[in-house]
Amino acid sequence: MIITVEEIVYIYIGVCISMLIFNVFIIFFRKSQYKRFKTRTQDISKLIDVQLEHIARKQPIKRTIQIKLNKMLTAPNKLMAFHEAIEAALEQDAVVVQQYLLLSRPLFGSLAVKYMQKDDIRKAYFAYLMSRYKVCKDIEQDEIINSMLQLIDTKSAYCRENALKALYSFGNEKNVLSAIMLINKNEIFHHEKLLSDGLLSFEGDKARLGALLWEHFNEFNNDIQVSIVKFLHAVSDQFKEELYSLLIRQETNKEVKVAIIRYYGKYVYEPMYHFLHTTLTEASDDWEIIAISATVIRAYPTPASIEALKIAMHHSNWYIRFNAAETLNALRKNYNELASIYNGTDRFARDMLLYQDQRTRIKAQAQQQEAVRV
Amino acid sequence: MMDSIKVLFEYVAIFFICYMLVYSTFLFLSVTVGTSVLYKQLQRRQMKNELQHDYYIPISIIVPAYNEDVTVVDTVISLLNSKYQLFEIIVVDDGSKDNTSQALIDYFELNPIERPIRKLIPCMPEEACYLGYRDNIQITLIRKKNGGKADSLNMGINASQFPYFICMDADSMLQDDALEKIIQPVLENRDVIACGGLINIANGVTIKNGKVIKYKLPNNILIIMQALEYNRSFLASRIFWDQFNGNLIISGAFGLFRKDMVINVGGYDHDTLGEDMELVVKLHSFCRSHQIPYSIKYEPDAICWSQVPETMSDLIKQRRRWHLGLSQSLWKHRNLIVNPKSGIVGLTSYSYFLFYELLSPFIELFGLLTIMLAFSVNIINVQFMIIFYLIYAGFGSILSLTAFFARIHTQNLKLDLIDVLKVISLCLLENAGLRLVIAFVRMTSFFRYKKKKNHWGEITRQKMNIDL
Repeated sequence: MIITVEEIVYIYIGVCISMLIFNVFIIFFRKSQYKRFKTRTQDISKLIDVQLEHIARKQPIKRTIQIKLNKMLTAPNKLMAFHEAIEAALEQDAVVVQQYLLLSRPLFGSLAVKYMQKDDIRKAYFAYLMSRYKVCKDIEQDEIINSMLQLIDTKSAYCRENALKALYSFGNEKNVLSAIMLINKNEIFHHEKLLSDGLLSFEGDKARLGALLWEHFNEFNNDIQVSIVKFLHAVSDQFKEELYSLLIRQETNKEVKVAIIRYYGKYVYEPMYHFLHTTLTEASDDWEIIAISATVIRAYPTPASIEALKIAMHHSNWYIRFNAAETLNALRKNYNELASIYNGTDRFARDMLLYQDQRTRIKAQAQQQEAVRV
Repeated sequence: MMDSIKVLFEYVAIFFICYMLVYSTFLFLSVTVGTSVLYKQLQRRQMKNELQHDYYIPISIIVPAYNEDVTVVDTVISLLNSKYQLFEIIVVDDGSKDNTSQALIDYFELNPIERPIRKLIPCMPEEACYLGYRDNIQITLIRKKNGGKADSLNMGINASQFPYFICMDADSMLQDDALEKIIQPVLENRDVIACGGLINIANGVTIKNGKVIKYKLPNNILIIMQALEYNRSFLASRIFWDQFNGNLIISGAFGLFRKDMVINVGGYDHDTLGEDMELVVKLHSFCRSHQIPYSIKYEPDAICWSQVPETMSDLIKQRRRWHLGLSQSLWKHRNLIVNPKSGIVGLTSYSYFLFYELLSPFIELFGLLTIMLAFSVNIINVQFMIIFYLIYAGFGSILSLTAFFARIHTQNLKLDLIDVLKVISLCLLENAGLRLVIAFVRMTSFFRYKKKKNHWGEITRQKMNIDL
């Protein structure tokens, strides 16, 4: 027994010593890493400067330097130093540096193949650099694009997100479509918010991208459909009829319907008026649809809309009353229009209307004060 | 007689060797895993492995407050400095006796409002509501009848507009990127229902516009020892449990939750002192028994700076509350340990918290009594015992230092030589001294159970070093 205890004590001592060595090593390693990074950045900057001078003089860039960089940048630490040097150069002369990056596409193509062999963190970093450098602008097919598409089907959300960002920045709608098709086909979870916000950063023709996504709309799952409708909401009024026919179809998913109804809050479409009016006045279990309709009807300001909202104010669902009261306050012209609610017996409706009225006033007052402060 | 005592001690020794071996292995694993995860996170940040967007998911931030007029305004300012663009702030004043509400009303020019609040989970009635806006961010103040912290959080949940909410303490400050970091696990995985952030000790730290501009350890040795303890026991172990969805605690100082799930389990429990732990254990229990796929995450990049007790009496009060809360939560959800559906949570996390947190003070006391008895009958090797104890304390101290410096390095904080020396010189005292004091406090905490039920943990607050 005593021997066992002693052995345990020795193990503890061993662990303590290794931990101490680890701590000391980390301190020195980090210090030296920082110094080495600075030196590397300076070395790479010198190489880049030579190439930039050639471009400024309208001479071809030096092949030997590109070959040297190709060898160096295989190491992620050197790629980080390259990034640091490029960022500094971009601040000096963005046009020439961008030209240099475009001319370096073969270099990045070769690096893409090498980085696809590395771990997810490094793959994601390479994809991030491609999204910054936009070296495949308006190109449909090449090694870098293939690598980015390859990254879509990885477990790492960072790889996927950075690869998507790169594809958005390249501005080719067919590649973006291919990426989304891959997400859909392989049932990959990529948050709907990331997808819809990401699509908005697309640097090509957004209308063309919208049309292409719409062409394949029915092939996508509901999450992706929601993202696409949100994207269309932000970029185009050309889908009023198509989305309406989808909205009135019974089998359309509820989340997709909610996104479509929001679309008509921005782009007024006559047939929607009837849809919103019916939704607000007729009994239904879909409270989400009624609640969003109570908000969107603000874009259809008629006396009948106000009457429909007044009916919605008596709904048992809290969110419907909340949205209806907010819209009524925005649409009403005077107190008398809402007197039936203020003087009525439905306390829930009255309280909500009063709250939204006070809230609107406080917000307006705060905005005025903010403007004065600015 | 002597023979049977010797046999008894033999068994006691075997028990303690196994007990300490498991604990030191856990400590070693948690610090090793925690440290490597922190360095990996640093590498991720350096290599731009981030989900950065301008607009994320809208969040309601709930700040329960009781007698917090010294710090509450700074806390709200720190929230307004956040890079995040889509959130609302709800401060719930739980019937404070000081000027908590008035301080907020004056500073943020809040207006009284008649606000209907939908009571999806039970809480005390509201007495008054106030509303204001800063940079388009809605600030709501709800003053309610005193009902405790859990009750205030429930009121905040009832009043919140958005599908996710954050609970935080009124004496805490968030770093400017804390909100965008804490939401990242939700963007990565649709099953995430809650996520805890990293709590750093704010005493002595100066923050400007949500960024740390000066990190200085205070001269108060109690705070430095708590800093060491936080990194070893909380940061490292939570990262470790996070690897297999086994975290049973998300600190009340900073945590994100999916509102519908919290409402499904009935919100925070009024009858528990450790309402933060109870909620997380309840979520585990609920999801496991209903076979709902879920994940409870810990995000060390989401940083919250919180004040810790500066005096021993405040620390004793705090730890007593924590220990009672732990015992209540474990007792209430004791089915976790016997239910086969509980899986890893029941098997490892629950057992760990039961044997190494809840019962450890009693086991340690039993150990001390055994030592004394062994000494009295002269069957103990005193020299070996002292060496063993010193090595064990040294082992704990080195692990504390490793976790502490890993955090300092990975958060790009700079320590001057004096601070480094302070930390090194106090780590042994923390392990061999403070830990024993805290073990004693935890053991005696049950005697004051009735008296302290449902009260706020009141500790003396200091004005934070926040540069406006």
